[in-house]
Amino acid sequence: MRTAGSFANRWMFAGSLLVLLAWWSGAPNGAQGQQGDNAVYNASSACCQASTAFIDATAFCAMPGGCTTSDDFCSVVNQALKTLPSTGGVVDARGVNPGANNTCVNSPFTTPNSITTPSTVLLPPGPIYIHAPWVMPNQTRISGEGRKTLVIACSSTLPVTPTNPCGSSNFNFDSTDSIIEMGSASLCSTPCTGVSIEHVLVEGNNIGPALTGIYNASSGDGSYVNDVTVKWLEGNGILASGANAAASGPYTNLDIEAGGSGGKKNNNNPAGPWGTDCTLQTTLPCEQTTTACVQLDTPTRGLHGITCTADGVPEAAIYVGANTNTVEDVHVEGNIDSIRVGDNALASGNTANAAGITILDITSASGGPTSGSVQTGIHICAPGSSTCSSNAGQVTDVSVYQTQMFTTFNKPVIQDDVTSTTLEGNNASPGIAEYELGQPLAGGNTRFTVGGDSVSASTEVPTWGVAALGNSTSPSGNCQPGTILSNTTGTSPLGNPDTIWVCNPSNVWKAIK
Amino acid sequence: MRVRKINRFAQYLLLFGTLLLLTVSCLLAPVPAAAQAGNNAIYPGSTCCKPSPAFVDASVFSGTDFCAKVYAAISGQPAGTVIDARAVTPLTCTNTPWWNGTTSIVTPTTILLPSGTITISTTWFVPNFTKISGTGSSTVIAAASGFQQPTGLNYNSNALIEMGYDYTNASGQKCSPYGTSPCVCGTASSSGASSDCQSVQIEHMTVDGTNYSTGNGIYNNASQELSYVNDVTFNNIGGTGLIVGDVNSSRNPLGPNGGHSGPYTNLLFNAGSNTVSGTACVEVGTVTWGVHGITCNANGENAPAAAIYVNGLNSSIEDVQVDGFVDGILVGSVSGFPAGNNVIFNVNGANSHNVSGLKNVVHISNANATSDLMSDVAFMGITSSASGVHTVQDDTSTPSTVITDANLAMYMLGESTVLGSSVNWQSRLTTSLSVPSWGMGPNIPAGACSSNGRLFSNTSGSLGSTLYACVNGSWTNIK
Repeated sequence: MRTAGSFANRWMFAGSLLVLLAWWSGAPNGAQGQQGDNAVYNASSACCQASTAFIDATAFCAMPGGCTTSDDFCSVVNQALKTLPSTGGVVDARGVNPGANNTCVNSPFTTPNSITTPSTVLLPPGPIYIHAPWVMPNQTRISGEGRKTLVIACSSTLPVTPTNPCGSSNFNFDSTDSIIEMGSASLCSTPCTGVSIEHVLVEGNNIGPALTGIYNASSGDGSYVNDVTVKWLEGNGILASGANAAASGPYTNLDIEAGGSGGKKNNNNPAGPWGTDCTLQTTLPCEQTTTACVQLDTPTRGLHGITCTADGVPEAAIYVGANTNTVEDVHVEGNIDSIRVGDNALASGNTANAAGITILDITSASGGPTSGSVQTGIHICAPGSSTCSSNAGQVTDVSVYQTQMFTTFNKPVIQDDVTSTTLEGNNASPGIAEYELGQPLAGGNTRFTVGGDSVSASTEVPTWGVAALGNSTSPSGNCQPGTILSNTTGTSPLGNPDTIWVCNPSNVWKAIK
Repeated sequence: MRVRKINRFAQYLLLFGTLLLLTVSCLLAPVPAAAQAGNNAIYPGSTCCKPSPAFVDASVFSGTDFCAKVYAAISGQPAGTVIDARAVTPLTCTNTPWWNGTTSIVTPTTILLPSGTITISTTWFVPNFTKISGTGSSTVIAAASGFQQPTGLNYNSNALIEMGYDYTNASGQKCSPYGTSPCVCGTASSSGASSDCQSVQIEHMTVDGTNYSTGNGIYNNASQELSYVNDVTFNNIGGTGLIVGDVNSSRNPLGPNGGHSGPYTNLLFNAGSNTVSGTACVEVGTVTWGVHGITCNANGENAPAAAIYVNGLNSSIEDVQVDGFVDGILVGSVSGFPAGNNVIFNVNGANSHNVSGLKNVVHISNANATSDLMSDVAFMGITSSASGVHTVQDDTSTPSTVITDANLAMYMLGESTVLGSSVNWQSRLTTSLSVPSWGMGPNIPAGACSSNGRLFSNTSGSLGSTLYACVNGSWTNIK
């Protein structure tokens, strides 16, 4: 009996040790890692070993791995950024309260640590209410989850239910009046490079008459904006300006809504304090005449793919106020000018000379119930133009391929103040195939136009036409003085020219050869 | 007796100590934090692990197939969540990632698709604000044998993937055709639904129609701004690889939509055994942000009629390589649909696969020749590396304008209406030597000339020898 009991006890002891050993071996082995490291299986197929492929910012919340809206989003990201090696890395903040109201007192790049390390920051879905502008350091990229990542400038009167996550304090403007800044003079002694913003929605909430969504005066090569929506701003959606922003871009796939639907300031909350109809201009701020979707006041790699809507108040949707820019695939509603060349909405004294500009595939439309009207498609300014600002500069060498106007009434598809040319269009008329403005020549300018003169209100512009009229048919219909026509089947028998025709000052065709 | 008691006491003590050690170990060991299925594991400090919802790994969810597991992973997540489905198996789908056979979900997400072939049995309708992204051409969305669209649609896209919802329910709202679901985009309605879908994005994958011989690849007649397709290969599609704005009234009586979507970039279309004369790369029937970067290959004996059809206004078509189609780009071929104001540049045509199908690199149809529905097009940089083909054929003129130059810098076609009245000529400018153009040089043009009506400016000329025209085969002095 004694032997049996002792045997049982020993087995119990041995069994306990075995269970303990087995449990230890099956438990996470607790290999050392750094805060925020990813956990991966190690070479022995055991869990887990730390990987620095990216730093997960949720580890820096007050309760690591269990972030709440009490955590300051930017502070959390900042602490994660601080752990990156000097060569840079990726901070994955997608798990910081995804879908919930995140808030920021300061920038993720300034507080509590000053960050200059190159980084890619992945933003979570949901709104991020910010009280301070984000000034992005050199070689920094932020990337969200499309329109479901919202970076919103705070307002104490923000109409969010049940509580305003911004509390009682407003967005703190700096000297640039912008929400996100691509680099800064203090961060880069020479132009910053590789600063980019992708897949986010930037929202201004109409909190200031000059607030800009994305501001670039400091970042050049490799610095771009892609797949970004900007809403409810009275300044600029995107402003690229100054020598240090040269060669930045491209600025691609943009949807910029200055006024929102129906001229309402905040269509998401039409019953709120910002539901007032801005078209009445009864409360401020609403869209200003200087509000713009994009200003390119420096040579860039172009603006490609944009829809810009407003309530009809802004003077121009897109300003091209510097040399060497391409503007392509554009849709504009509710701005007086869709594209204004040789002007800007900057402070007086910033003369906007522009040369070497290529513009193609431009659609201008009056939006009816969804946005305001448009007055002019492409407006080429000249110094002293009465419909441009005092900053209007010299414009030469502009190429336009394909632009069209969709309005009930005739409106200028192109208004060229350099040559005093206006080519009009409407819903029923075709657009313009080509408009080339060259350089001053003998009191005029080198210029060529194909199409764009179908509406009778247009300026008469000479062009070159062709037809196979044979030797017994004359050109018919209207003609513009100076137009040349080549009859490809003319025979021009002696004394009866029928191959080369010219439209004379009386708008009558004359056969000359 | 005492010794025995002591021994027994020691044994109990040892057992108690062991159990105590086990208990303490359990208490002190890392304890997994409360986590949701699919959360990633991260280091909260120096020891592992805590959950992170940065993304949701769909492979841990239950389901009978790929789509069922992804559906389960999406369910209950906040809008914008990243669903990592790169480890989900098996790669088959009875339903879709947004429909489980009974209920539809419309939560916007980013879904990462795995390498391998995912065979789908019915059309994927990608919801509003949703991105699907593969790992490159090795992620293949392929029609299963017996693939079919849902029944009851009021149009017939015949597509493997649709961007947004073009289906109209009994209340006139645009919704998912599968089951019941909120109508989150589509035609404006009293419910306050937005007027169009937006930000529907498809990237980095192959669409394979081998088992759906008459089907189309990706169909967008509903989604607008920030909706695009990028880095997608289309293999063995018998219909059309990509349709944006559907003007085919027999397929879609609702008319074209999906305006201001795009750009559609970095596309590769490889026709295969399903090829018929109607097989095409792309159909564009509405205003877009363009098609930029596409190669269209047709390698069979029966050359399809056209690679890219343009039957809408205001698009840029650029950086195009077409091979083996009769027409590389056919503009304005559907009567009644305006096809002007398109700019097309950097297009090369070829017959490099032992076929001789290509006839025209860019072809303007005469379907709308009698109206300004077909006017104002700009072609630049049109080239052919095949012999005996037309770089441009313009059927709006009578007779057709045919340009046979292997390399063409520019062809601009204007209108047949001037200052409000119709005229019997067209404004046009080209650099081609096949038709009237304008040349210049420091000399008097000599010898015979072709292209009646060509002009020549003598930059060294003087009074009476500066401007010449080609008239009846000879250069004639004008001024």
